[in-house]
Amino acid sequence: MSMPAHQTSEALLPWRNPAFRANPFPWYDVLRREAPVYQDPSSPKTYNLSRYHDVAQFGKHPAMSNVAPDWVQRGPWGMFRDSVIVKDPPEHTALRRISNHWFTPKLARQWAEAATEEVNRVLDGLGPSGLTEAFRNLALMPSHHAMCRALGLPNDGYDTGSDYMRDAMIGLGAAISAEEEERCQVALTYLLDRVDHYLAEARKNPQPGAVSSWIELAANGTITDRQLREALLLFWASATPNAAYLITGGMEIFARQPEVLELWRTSPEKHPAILNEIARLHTAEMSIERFTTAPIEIHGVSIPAGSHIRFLIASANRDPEVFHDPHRFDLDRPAETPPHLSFGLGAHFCPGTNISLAETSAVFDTIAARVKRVELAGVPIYGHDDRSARYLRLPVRLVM
Amino acid sequence: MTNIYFGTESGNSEMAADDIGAEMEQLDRAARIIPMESADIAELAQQEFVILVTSTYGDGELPETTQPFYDALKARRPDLSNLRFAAFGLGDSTYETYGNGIDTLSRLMIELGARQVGDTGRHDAARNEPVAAVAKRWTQAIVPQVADSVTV
Repeated sequence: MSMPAHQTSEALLPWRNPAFRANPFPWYDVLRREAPVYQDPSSPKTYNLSRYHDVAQFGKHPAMSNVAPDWVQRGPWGMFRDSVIVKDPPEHTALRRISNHWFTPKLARQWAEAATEEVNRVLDGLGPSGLTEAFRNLALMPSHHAMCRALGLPNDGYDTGSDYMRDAMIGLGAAISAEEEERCQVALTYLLDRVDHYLAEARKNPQPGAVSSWIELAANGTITDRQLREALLLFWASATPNAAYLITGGMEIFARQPEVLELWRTSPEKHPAILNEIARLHTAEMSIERFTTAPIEIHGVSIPAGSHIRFLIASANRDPEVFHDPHRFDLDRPAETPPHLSFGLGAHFCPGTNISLAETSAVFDTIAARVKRVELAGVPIYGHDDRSARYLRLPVRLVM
Repeated sequence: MTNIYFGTESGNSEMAADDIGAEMEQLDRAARIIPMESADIAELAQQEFVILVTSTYGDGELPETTQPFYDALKARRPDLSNLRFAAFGLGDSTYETYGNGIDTLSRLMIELGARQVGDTGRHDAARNEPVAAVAKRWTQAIVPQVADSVTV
């Protein structure tokens, strides 16, 4: 029997409420319990899935497409017309392979040496009190250096680039204002201009790395110029802030639970478990979306073809049905615990996963080798919106 | 010297092959890691023992670099009756097609006369266990079974 989705005049996902944006987890708890297939009153063709098993199962369901139907207002991000984020297999597979070649786990470790170098430079330049701002100095910029090494691009220009990327990501929110949309437009226009600049430079003076190879693929017609520009925008601009959130999350855990840094230092076999748990608790992209290509039924709710499904990844990652005591950093979760979903799932699994994990390991290895303790030197400042989680500042004192 | 052939979509099988090779070195067995896309089928057929590593892609298909290796074996149909092989697969048990990649490849090897040594190793991405740990355990189980009758 088909049942109506949970509908109520009270919004269970108050997208613009500052308390919700700062800490959505109490709302997610209600949603998982009372409305696991939640039809958004502000957007009736949108269904929100919040339980781990639903997200894991339907996130890779064959009826879920990345291609938006005509009714969807795509806003400034509608400029993406021909890249992995708006294509389904087999076209998606062909494009994805072009980038996969440059971001294998093995190559990622090599690129991440640039992150190690940058962290070492920051540590060498610390003042007598060992104070630094961990988000920019130990996470964002080291990761950007690693990404630029992979791409074969100079690593300048990312202070402005990452600021604009924040504006662009806010524009992906569920209920953005006209002002946020305008800022997103300005940001993406700027970022695309930088991409065009770096492509022009790389054509004049090719450097070893992904960009030179992609330029050749564009020249021989394997990919289009549009695909080249969109791919570079994704890798150069949008990938690194997510990795930086993961790394900074780890730094905050090192400060609050010093035994975790000690474990990183002494027990390399624990590294995968530490990375998994940090990533589970720090879901940079808290939701992802898909569109149904056929009618489906979830928990008795009939969802027509052409609907918009929002998968609440951050909620799934803290579903107590799957992760006992879900807000706790716990390295002893049973081996049969399913994986966190912070890097997404299915064919659209984050192409930056390998480099992001390699950057994180490189930063933590360098900190573990040179720093005795990480202490908070002020209150962390977060800048979450309804879709992306981020740090603005993590003031730390590094005790050498 | 044991040839370890790996086929991959995003590089995880390469890491597994490296982990297996490193564990073999620990056990005093030399290993050579060969990407399947640059494998020489004639050379493969002359070996006594090889290790195959592949993931599964999409709906149970072979990944990008396993496919041409599989296609070449299928087209040339070398006599593999003197070859023994061990197989290690990477997959995700939340898919119905879990492990299809390595099973498809193993079936073809057996069809061509090769005999499998030991159980197929399987890393399951749906479980909270690193590839390196699973690959190491599997290698430790496989190597003694090979050493009995073949010079590794």
